[in-house]
Amino acid sequence: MIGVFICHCGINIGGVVDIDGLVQKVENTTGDDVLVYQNLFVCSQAGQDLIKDKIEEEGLDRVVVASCSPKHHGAIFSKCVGEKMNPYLWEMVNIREQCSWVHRDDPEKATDKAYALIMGGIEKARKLQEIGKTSVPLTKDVLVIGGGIAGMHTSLELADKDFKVYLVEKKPNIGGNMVRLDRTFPTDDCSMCTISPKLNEVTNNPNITLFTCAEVEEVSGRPGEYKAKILKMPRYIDEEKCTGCGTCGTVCPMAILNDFDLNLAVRSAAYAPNSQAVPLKYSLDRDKCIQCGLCEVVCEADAIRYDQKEEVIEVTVGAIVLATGYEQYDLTDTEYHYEHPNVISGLELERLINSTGPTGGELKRPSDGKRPESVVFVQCAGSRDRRHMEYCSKICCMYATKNARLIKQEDPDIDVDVCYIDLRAAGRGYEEYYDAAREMGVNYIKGNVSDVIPDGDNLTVRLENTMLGEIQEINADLVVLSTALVPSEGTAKMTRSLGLVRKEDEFAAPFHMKIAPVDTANMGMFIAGTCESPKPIQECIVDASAVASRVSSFLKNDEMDIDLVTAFINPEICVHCGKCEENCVYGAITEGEDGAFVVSDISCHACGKCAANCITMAVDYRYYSDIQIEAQIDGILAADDDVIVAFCCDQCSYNAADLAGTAKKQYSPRIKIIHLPCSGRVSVNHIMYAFDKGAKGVMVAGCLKEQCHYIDGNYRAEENVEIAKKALSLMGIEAEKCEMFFMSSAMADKFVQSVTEMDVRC
Amino acid sequence: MKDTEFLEDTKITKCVQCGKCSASCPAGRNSRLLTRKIIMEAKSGMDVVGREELWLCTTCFLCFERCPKGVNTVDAIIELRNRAVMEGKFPEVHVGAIEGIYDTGSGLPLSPDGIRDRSMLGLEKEPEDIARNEEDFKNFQKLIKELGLLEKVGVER
Amino acid sequence: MKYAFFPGCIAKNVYPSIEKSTRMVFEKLKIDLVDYPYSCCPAPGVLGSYDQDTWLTLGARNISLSEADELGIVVICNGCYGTVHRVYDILDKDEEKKAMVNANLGKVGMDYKGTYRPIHFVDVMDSMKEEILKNKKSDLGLRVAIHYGCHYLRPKSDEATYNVEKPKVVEGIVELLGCESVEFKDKLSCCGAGGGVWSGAEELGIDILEEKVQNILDVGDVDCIVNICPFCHMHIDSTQKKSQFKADTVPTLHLNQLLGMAFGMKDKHLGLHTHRVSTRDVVKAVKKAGKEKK
Repeated sequence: MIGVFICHCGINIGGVVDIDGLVQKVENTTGDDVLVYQNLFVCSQAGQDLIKDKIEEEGLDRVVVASCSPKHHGAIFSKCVGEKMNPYLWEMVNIREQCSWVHRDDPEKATDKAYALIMGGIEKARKLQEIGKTSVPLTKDVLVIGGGIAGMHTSLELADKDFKVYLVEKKPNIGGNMVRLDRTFPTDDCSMCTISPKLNEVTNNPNITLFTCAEVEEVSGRPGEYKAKILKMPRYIDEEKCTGCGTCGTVCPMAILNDFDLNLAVRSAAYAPNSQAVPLKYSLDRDKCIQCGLCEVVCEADAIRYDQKEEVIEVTVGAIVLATGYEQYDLTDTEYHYEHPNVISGLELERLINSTGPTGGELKRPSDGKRPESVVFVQCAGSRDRRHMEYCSKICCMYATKNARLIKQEDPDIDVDVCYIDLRAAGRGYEEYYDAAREMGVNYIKGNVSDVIPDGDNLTVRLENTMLGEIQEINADLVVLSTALVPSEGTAKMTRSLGLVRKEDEFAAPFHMKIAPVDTANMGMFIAGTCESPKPIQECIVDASAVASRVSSFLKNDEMDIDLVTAFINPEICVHCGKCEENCVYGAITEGEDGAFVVSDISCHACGKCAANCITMAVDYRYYSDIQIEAQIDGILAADDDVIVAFCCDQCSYNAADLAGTAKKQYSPRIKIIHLPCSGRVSVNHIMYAFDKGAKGVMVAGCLKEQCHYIDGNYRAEENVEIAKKALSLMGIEAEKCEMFFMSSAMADKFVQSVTEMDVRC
Repeated sequence: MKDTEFLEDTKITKCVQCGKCSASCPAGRNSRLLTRKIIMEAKSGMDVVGREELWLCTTCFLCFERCPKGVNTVDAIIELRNRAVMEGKFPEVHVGAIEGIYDTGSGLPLSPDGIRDRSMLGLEKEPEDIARNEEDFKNFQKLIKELGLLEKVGVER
Repeated sequence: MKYAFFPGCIAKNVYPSIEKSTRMVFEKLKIDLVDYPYSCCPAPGVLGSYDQDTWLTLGARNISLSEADELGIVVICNGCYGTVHRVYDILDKDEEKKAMVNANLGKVGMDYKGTYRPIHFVDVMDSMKEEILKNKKSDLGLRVAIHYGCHYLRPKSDEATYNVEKPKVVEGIVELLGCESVEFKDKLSCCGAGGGVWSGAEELGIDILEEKVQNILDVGDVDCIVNICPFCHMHIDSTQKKSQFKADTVPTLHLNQLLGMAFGMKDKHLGLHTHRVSTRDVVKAVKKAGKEKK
């Protein structure tokens, strides 16, 4: 029994659509199983009571509400119907924003359209099924990958919220790049002083289990219950016994370039990255160790273990946080002559002016240890550059200013020039910090350096001083390149092994840059810090706090309920081609034991791409199923013979259409919109089905190209439209009668333009 | 010169005036030419075709390679030169070269010294080229005429 | 291997030693060269600056001559490369311009297809390193300053794999011949002849060259400048002899002349004595290195 409730919405619908006539027509053209009612405001208490009463009285098992947009009052009716039956057994038909408001000039056609839409809604309602829920247990432990400032702070906040955290760090020490820095802008506090408390807390916190010299090898499972394999590489020194005394390091005969000091200094094969390393434990670099045995002789703690093996530790966690950070771009073999010893990167300068660095904090240039009389900073080295990285690395203008100030403070006689395209000082206290730099005598030259030319130990920096319109060559004893920040090796590796969406520049992509900046498209996986994009320390802390909050919400209960509006795969039809798995950006589809593919309900975002592109149609959805979509098309096209079907996506184009309605823009009533979660839900079959049933044209409207809310649904839709066009041509129908359009929620004009275009073409 | 096609093809609107082009320029180091300035002026719709500096560029393409934003600097300069020619503004000395190409088929024609060297080296006295092929040469000259180059530079043939 | 041979005006008419060296070296490497009635490429700096349509049409005309014989062009000059290679790329991507060119060529019964991408002889040599080694009679023992010029490297096409700021192609070839390639300031900079500057802004062309030669002299003990372009060759060789040129002179050789010497060919046959800046010291140094080896 289907109950159809038609709303007047005062005169909003009633003033254009002939409601009485509509009720009559629906009654006359349907059987006894359809009951039709009308109300002035169905959303009102009276209207809602009407629905609930009729469900009881008449034993309704399906409900159709024809009123405003589901985006407006959908939630009200969902709740109302949900009190009496499964909340997925009702359908909302939009006859206001997408009918009465946009066809005011033609009440007769508006009424006809409302009729067709309602008939579509009825047919779809017939095919609706109960949607159940499922509960999945949630493990309260968390895996944090990367022990830099972002990873550590996330771990500490989570530990504080009583989560058990596994923190995995690749290097022998934690602290990431931040422990290499000297002072930090705009406060000029010593980096180590700021981070030291955190380093120690992390090692002492009972809720945090720290693995150093370790990497995450493999992650499997599902959100709420991820299984991770941690591979711990041997230090060849017993971590429990080592006291960090360093005697092994002093007797070790080897001299190896020290990665911590960015190869500006040497260390032994028995080493700790630096004197302040946390944990202060030594390691043996077995690649370079000659096994002379001296360290074993002198070690009072008897901690040397030449035969130590790697260990595999398996953990089960509910959520994973990626915080693997950045590294500096390599400018070897460029016009900057980075190969020259006195052309150094930003991080290298940090080591040279840091008191724990290779020169004890005295500014000495690498080639001859001479104190430079002139230092030139080259901004945008590798950033904002289509030959290297197109993006701005955000922090370089400030850290170059910081270092320029520090040098000037130490010795005002040193000439310091900063050569830039734009000086970006956007942040609290930044502009004032920059003002002070200029007052100190740091010379800012607005010109992008074209060449760094070696001249023995010295260098010549060439640029156009654009303010003067003069090409200049500046002599420099030391050149510091403000090198672009790029995703670290760990970031590149882990985004791939975790199946995270990457941006074009290979940084880890957030779910939504503005409103979900620390979530990812993968449920239960979060990102913090510079693995997402270049940012200053305070933003890493903010990310970490945000992630802790998000993880906490995600894992707040012991179980998570999910509505099964998700996809499912029929193993008997599945031909094991794996296309669905390829298409799924959420990693929700995996190969099952018998070869057929399986959807993880908890990971599925119900976008529709898998079903729309399955060649055997083995994949379908429980809500917005193929049968439901086809039924809706049937209903509309049986009721009206001059229809242009418009598949619109819930995130963007449907809203654009609603906005067109709110703005009272007028367009042809031939357009009948079918609401889908994502344009990617549209398959070639759906399009051909519509034409087969008599549609004069079919359009698919999705999000703007780079902004699909399901990442790439609109691209899949575009591909399917192209295929449909070819199929139509082969059938003798002009390909232009089928088209793909892109628009955002705000682009009401674009929506009207698109439907008008279709109206003309068809 | 707010010419949309010009702006689109040359991508001049992407310019951020960083000056890397000027600083990379071999002519810039040795003359008044500031590539950045020419681009800025063209972008602003100023009249650049009369500028003498336009003809100081050696079209070495280093600025184009180095431009971080991908502005088609050399294409812009060449297009501006083409327009300058249409307005009759170009270095007179090139006319001789153009006449030479029309009259002999070569940019630098064969001279007695050239003939002497060729013979001495055991090459054919006169190289295989268009000058020795009457029909090809006629067609070549016809093409040049049809395309209107001679009129543009005020040469009568 | 067989190519349509496009020597260019300077190698044919002004420095035929380069044409001769090329023919001798290619023969040694068993590469067949076929001649066609080519016109000037046309000179990109002048013709291109004056009228792009004329430049595209005349360039396409030249490329089309060997299409019927299924041959692609090999050039020995950056200037010619700057024309034929760019014309090819432009017409490959722009249907409208291709139609314009063919509309014009049609008037004289010709047609441009664009089947074979023109190749620069340096790329041919780079692919023949084994054969070069086989034919090498002795190491030359020279300290050379490589002058790439411009259009071989720039603009870099999408398929090219070299590093435009630090190319290694020519270095690889001269090292095979037992030469040492030196680094010098602004190594990849233009010689100053292109873009119509050689004729249209003579003083500037001289200044740019002077800067380059001085940079090379500052390195010290450089035997010669190795070039891959007759236009650069002409500018470097002849202009150093002009009264306005203020620096000391350095002799220059086209890469094919260097290859010829390494293959044991006589300097007189390669035409090294026709250069304005004397190559005598270079020839002497090579002879000495040849004797020392024995």
